[in-house]
Amino acid sequence: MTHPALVLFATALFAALSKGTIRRVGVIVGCVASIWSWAQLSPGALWNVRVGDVTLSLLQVDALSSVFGLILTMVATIGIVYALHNDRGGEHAFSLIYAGGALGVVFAGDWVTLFVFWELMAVSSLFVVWEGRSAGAARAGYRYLLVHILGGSLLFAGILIHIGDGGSLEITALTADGTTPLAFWLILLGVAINAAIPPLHAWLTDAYPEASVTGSIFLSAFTTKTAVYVLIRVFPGASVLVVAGVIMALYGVVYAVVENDIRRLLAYHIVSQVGYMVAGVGMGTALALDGAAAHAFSHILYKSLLFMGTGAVIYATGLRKLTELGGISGKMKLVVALYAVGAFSISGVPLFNGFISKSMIISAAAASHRPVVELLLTLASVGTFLHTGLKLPYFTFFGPDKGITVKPVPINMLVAMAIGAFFCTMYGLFPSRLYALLPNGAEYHPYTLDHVLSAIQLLVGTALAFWLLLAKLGGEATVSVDTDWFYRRPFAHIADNVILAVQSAGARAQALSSRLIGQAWTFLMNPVSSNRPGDAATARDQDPYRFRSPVGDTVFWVVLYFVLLIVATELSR
Amino acid sequence: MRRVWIGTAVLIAVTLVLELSYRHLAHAEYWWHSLPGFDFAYGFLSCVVIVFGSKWIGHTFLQRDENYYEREE
Repeated sequence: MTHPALVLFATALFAALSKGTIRRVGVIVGCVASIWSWAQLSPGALWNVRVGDVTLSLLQVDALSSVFGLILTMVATIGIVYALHNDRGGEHAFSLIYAGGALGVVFAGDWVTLFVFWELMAVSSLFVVWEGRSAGAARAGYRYLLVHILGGSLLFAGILIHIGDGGSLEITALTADGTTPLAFWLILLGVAINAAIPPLHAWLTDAYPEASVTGSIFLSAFTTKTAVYVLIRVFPGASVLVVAGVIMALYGVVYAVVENDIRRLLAYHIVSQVGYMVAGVGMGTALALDGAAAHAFSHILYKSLLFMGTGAVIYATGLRKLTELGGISGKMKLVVALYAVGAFSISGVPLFNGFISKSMIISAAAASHRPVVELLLTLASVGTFLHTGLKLPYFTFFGPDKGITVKPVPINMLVAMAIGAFFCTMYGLFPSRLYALLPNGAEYHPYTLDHVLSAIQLLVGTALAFWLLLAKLGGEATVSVDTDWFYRRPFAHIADNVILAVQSAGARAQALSSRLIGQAWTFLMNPVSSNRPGDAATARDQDPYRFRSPVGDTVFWVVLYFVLLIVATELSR
Repeated sequence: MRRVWIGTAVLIAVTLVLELSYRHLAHAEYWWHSLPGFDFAYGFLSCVVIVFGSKWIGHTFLQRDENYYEREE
C-alpha cells in the first residue's frame, strides 16, 4: 500500500527524465498505478510521521477523501492520455506533480501537511500555465502566481493563529464560534480564493484559457475541486457559503453570455458549477454535502471532457474565438459527438452524470426550505445549458461555414475524450455506483417521474428560447473586464508609478552624490592643495606617492621593533 | 425545420400529460412543483432573462475592445 500522490510524483520524475515511447508508456503505467494504489487504501490514519514534537498525518483515509481520491486519480489518467501526443516532458511532469499535490491535500490529516501540498499545487500549476508558452500565458501566469501567494499566505496565517490559540493540528470542522474568528475567516478566505468565489475568482478565468490545450485539462480539474473538498471537510453548514454559492452560479452565467473565447466561456462555467458545490456545503445537510461531493465528482468528468472537446477544436483549427469559428462539424464529427456527451452532462440532461448530482443539491435546497436558492440555482442551470449545451457548440461546430481548414486530431485525444464520455454516461445510467461512495449516506433517487419531467421541460423551454434568440447570441469580438481589472489596470498603474518614483529618486540621488564628489574630490585627493582653495591643482599636486612614505620605511620600522623586542626579552631572562 | 417544431410541441405535450396524470406521485415542496408546465415556462423565461440581462450588463459595464489590456501591458 502506498500514497497515490507518491505514485504520481514518481511518474512525474520519470516523465521529466525519459523520452518518446518509453515516456508515453511510463506515464500511462504510472497513472493507472495511482488508481490501483487508491484501490488498495483502507480507512484510517495510515502514515504518521513525527517531526519534532508534532505528528504529521500524511495519509488519512475516510469516505470523503476516498471519493475525491478516486476522481482525482481518474482525471489525471484521462488528462495524461489526452496529452500523450505532446512531447513535452516538462508539461507532463508539472501536470503530474500538480495532480499529486491535489491528492496530498485530499489525504492530508493535519493542517501542516495540507498547507505544504496546497502550495505545491500552486507552484506546479503555475508552470502548467506557463507551458502555454505565449506572452499572454507568461503574463497571466504572473498574475496567477500573485493571487495564489496571497491565498496561500491567508491560509497559512489562519492555520498559525488557529494552532497558536490552542486549536488542534488535526483537520476538523471549524465553526465561527468554536474557533478564533480571525483564524476562521483567514482560512475560509484562503480556501475561497482557490474555490474561485467572486470577487476572488478572476485568476481562474484569466489563466486557464492561456494554458496549452493539454494543460488546461489538468487545470480545470484540480484546484477548485480540492478547495471544495476542504470546504466540505472544514466548513460544512457555514451559511455564508449558501449566498456565495448562488452568486457564483449566476456570476459565471452572466459572463458566459458575453464571452467570446471558447475556453474562457467554459472557465466561467467552472465558476458557475463550483457555485452549486459551495452552496451545497453552506446548506450543510447530509443530502447537500453528499450532493456537493457528488457534483464535484461529476463536474471533474464532464468539465474535463468539455475542455478536451474545445482543446481538440483549438488544436485542429488554431482558432479559439466564437466569432472566428463555425461550420466545422462535418470535419470533426467524433469530436462533436463526444463534446455533446459532456454538454448533456453539464446541462443536467437525464441519463448523464450532471443530472444525478446537480439535482441532489437543488433538491437539498428545496428540502432545507430555501425556495429562493432552489429557483436561482435552477435559473443558473438554464444558463449552463444555454451556453455549454447550445451556444458554444452551435457557433463553434455549426453556424455559417467560414471555410476553416481542420487538421486531423491525434487518436490519443479522441481516446481520452471517449474515456471521459464513457464515465459521464456510466455514472448517469448507474448513479448508485457513485452514491455508494458518498460519505454521508444520504438517500436520493434522481430518476423519479417528476424529476425527469421537470428536467425535460426546463431543457426544452431553454432550447426554444435559444432558437428564438439565436440572432442575439453570436459571439462579439470583445473582452470583458472582471475583478482582475483592479490589478491589471489601476493597481498596475500604481505599481508602475511606484517603480518609476523609486527609479527617479535613485537617479536623483546618484546625480547629487556625483556632484558632491565632483566638488569634494580635490580636497580628498590632495591634502596639501586642499589648504590652498582656489589654486589650480596640477598632476604633481595630486600624485599620492608624494605624500606617502615608501612601504620599505614601514617594513624597516616594524622589523626594528621586533628585533628590539626579542633582544629586550633575551636580556631580561 | 417544421419537424423540429412539431417534435418539440409533442414532447411538451407528452410531459404535460404525464405530469397531469401522475400528480399524486409528485413530491411537491412548494406550489410551483405541482403547477403543470411550470418548468417549461421557467426555462423559457429564465433563458430570455439571462440573455437580455447579461447582454445589457455586458454592453453597459463589462465589454471592452479586444486589445483593451494589450495596450497597457
